[in-house]
Amino acid sequence: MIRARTLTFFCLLLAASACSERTTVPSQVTQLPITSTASTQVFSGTLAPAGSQTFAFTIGSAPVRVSLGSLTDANGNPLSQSLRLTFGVPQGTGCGPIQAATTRTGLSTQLQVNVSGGTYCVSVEDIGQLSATATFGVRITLGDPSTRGGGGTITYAQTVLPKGSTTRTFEASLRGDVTILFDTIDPASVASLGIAVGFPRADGGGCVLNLTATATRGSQFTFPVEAGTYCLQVSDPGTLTGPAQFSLRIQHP
Amino acid sequence: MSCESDPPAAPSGTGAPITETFIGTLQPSGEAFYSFSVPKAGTVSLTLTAMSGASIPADALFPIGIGTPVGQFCSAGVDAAAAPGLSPQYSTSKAVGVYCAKISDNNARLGAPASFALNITHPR
Repeated sequence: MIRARTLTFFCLLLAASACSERTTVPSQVTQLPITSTASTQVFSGTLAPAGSQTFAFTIGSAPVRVSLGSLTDANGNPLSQSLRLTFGVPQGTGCGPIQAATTRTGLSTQLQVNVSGGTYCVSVEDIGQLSATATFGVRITLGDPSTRGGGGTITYAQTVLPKGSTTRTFEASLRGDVTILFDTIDPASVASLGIAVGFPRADGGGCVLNLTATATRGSQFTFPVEAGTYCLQVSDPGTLTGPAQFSLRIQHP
Repeated sequence: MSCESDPPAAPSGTGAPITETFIGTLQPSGEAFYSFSVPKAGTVSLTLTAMSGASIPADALFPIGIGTPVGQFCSAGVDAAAAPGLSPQYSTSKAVGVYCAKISDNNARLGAPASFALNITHPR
């Protein structure tokens, strides 16, 4: 369950953006290295009302974790509708279920299955809640996301330009809560900035963003994650008339 | 692409063949595929039994093949070029696994969407 001390928020957004850190102000990193034995695939596409989409993959014996990471409309606005998320074996034109759940988006695991080696699939299906074609992103983690490591705090300071955004990645070595502490925004005339959290696309083509909010000075956001790599994006909420500098901390498990 | 399929019979594990029928609509220059499981090694055959539509040349052949589901696609290439008939147009041996059968109009012979029926026979 998403917790927010100062804001009740966090919807969904999918957007593509550069996932590398573009730092002009040095970031202080106190993060410990982690060792991962997992691989991640991101299944994304569009879903029409009453439609379904299936993604197949072949794996060895391993735990599989599946998260519906994002669901947005054609303009990139987050949607709160639930979808049917299925893990199974390719069958016919769909995915024969082994495990399924009806779920909204989130960064924690929604399906977890231990399987023997073979060909499997994940599907997303509208259960009658979509009124127009939506864009979705599903993260599929094969294997154990992490075997050792530790939590830490990352300080991230950067400048956002009007209509712009900046993004950096961070690691969670264990399942747990991530807290983002938004410390400063300069100049004083800028009241807030947009933030979003998601996960990197497997092809390096940016981030699938999930949790979005408007951050003010001193605001704090806490949300659950699985072990893995995540993206944090800070953006112009549409109100900037000039550059805005910010500083925040990411506390991760 | 809109596709329908007959539900497969419950596997018995005897290895006796079972036929799944893939019924769908093939768009001009499009493709369609159907996934199936082979629980016991043996012969898998494809039979394109019907193709009907408003614009199908009399001499049209349609590529069919068997591959594996990968991502949102089927890896099958062109194993045979088939005209509708009652005998298998393609047969091959397959190990235990999950496969897909694909039909396409990659020669752009269709002038309009066409309905098809493709039988997939495999050990059960």
